[in-house]
Amino acid sequence: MSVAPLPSLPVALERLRTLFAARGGKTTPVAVAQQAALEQFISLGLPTTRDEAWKYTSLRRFEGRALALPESVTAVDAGLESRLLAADGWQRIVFVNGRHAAGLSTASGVVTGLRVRTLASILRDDPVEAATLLGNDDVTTSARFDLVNRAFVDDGLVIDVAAGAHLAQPLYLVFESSGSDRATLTTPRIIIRSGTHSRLTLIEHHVSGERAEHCVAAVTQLSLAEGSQVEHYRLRREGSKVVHLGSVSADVGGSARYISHTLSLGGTLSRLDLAVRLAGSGASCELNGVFLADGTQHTDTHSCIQHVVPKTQSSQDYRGLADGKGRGVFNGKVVVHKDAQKTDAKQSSRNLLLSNTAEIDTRPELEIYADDVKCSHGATTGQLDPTALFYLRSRGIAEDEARGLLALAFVETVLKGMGIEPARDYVSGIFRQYFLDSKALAP
Amino acid sequence: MLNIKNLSVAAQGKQILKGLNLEVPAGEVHAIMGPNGSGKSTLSQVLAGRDGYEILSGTVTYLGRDLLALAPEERAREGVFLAFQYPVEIAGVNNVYLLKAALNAVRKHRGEPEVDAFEFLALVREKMQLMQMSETFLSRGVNEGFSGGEKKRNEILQMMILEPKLALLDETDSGLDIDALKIVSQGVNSLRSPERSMVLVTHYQRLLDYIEPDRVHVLSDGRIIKSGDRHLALELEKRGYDWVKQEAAAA
Repeated sequence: MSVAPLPSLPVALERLRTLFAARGGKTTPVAVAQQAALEQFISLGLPTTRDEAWKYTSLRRFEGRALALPESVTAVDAGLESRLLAADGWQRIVFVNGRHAAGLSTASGVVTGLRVRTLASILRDDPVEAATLLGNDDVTTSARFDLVNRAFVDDGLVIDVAAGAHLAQPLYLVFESSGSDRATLTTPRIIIRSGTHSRLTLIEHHVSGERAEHCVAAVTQLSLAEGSQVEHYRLRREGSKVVHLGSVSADVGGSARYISHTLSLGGTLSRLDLAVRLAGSGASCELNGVFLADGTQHTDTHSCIQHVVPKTQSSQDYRGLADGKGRGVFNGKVVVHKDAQKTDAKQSSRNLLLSNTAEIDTRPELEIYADDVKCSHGATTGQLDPTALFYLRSRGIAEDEARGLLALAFVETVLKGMGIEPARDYVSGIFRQYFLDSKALAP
Repeated sequence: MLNIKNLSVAAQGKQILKGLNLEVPAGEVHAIMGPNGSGKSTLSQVLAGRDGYEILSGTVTYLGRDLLALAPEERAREGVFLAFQYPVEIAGVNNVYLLKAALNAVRKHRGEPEVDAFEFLALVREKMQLMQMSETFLSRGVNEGFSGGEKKRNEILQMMILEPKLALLDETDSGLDIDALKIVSQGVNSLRSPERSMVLVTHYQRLLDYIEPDRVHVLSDGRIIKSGDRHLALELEKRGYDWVKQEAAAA
């Protein structure tokens, strides 16, 4: 009797297992949890376009990567400062390839009401807390790469804001992919817990130079206690070879408010999963964002808002642009649970195709199980208005410039929502440069 | 200034202008009147360079050059200005930004330096006062949330800043109340000069009470069928267009 060989794992999963083994075997509770996360990821298999949540996004460009573990970086790629926001007086914490780089961070002076610890220090000093922080809750198919992050994470941040603390300056977190032309897997994890009635502005900035071929599986988890507010900028502008599979999840308590601004730019394949759970009465979230896919880039934003209890509010306003042979995807899911009466959910997705070969797929997805709710959604995909184009040209504006001005005007409404001036100027500067000067997205 | 010879134009397969002839000498104001669907708006759009029109035959010479060979922006820089019948709202493109970019495009074309920021603002303020526009318009998007009358005033404001050689005003009087009509006309009249020509496309005689034309042409079914002085407009107001059509048919 012949024994059939075990079915071999897809190469990408085999690679992950080899990579995990290369970190060296440990038997600490954390290592056990990480091994479990890896095995779970492997047993579930890579999501495919047959999975509803990955219908428009193929992971082929991820599968093609021969992943490597991060090496210690002696020098970051040239021009790091030019990739960052001009942020005078902000506390800046820099990570390079997922690991805290104290030398590039500003001195972490004591800020009243703010406690910031690196995950590496917690992993080293408090394995019990560390194991809790990595969590063992289920992940959605949509945010499956959370498991890869869990399996490989060795650094990140845990940020606690004290009850009642109002932080005057934004906290600026930088994640730079640098110093390697191998497909380095980086897995930073940020955990933010805002105390009751506190206020925090957080800027999470993912950057790289043009030569980076990293695969970034970043995870940000927020938990907002009652009456607190977190304004979260997640700005991503990476080199054109980067693969970025990131997720953000926010658990929003009663009367708490989560505000999210996202920029998705660069990378050959990028995905952002943004999951918000409005878990307390009066909880609200406002999500807005802009993405641009140029060249042959593929960028995907999946939002999912859970209205769990009565009287919660959500609004979403996303603008997508695709140029060249770029492809953009936006999927906005809103789930109104059975008891969540008086839910108010608004969603708008407007998309602009800048070439005949570009593609954008946008889809609202509503699941409503309560009957006394107000839910609206609108999705449009179109090209520049020819009448507006003619109007500008009839005033002497060259065609290219007129196109650029109209494309800029298209993203302008989202920028208006960005209250932090250096962040807004940064984003508008990128688009201004892209549409009016160089047409190049290289960071 | 402008010389149109035997111009025939089609849009979406349908012929709209059918051998139109028109000559507008420098310094003159000509009115083109006609019933709906006669081709008035097509003429102004074609002169400004809107695409989507097929030129079947004919020539348009502007200051000795082939106007139809120029892109819309080149025409604007050469001094052609179209005041739109329906000015376009462009949220996100600032009004004053457009004014300045448009003026600088003309200046650059003429080999002049960019306008000084202070002088520019002073110029805009002066002209806005004339058009009785509030300065809050400057910081808003182009025509964004403007009323019909405000949009038309904004068109004339742009015209005053750009000082074109040939101004085409497409139904500038439509949708204006009498006060706005006076303000707009005042603006237009302030631009009359021996070096500047204007073509007023209008459905009604009303505008011509305020802007006195040198010549009046009747456009019907894609051709100019009658021309005269300003008294022709008054007669049209009284008698309508049918008698002109009959006269043309008889001839």
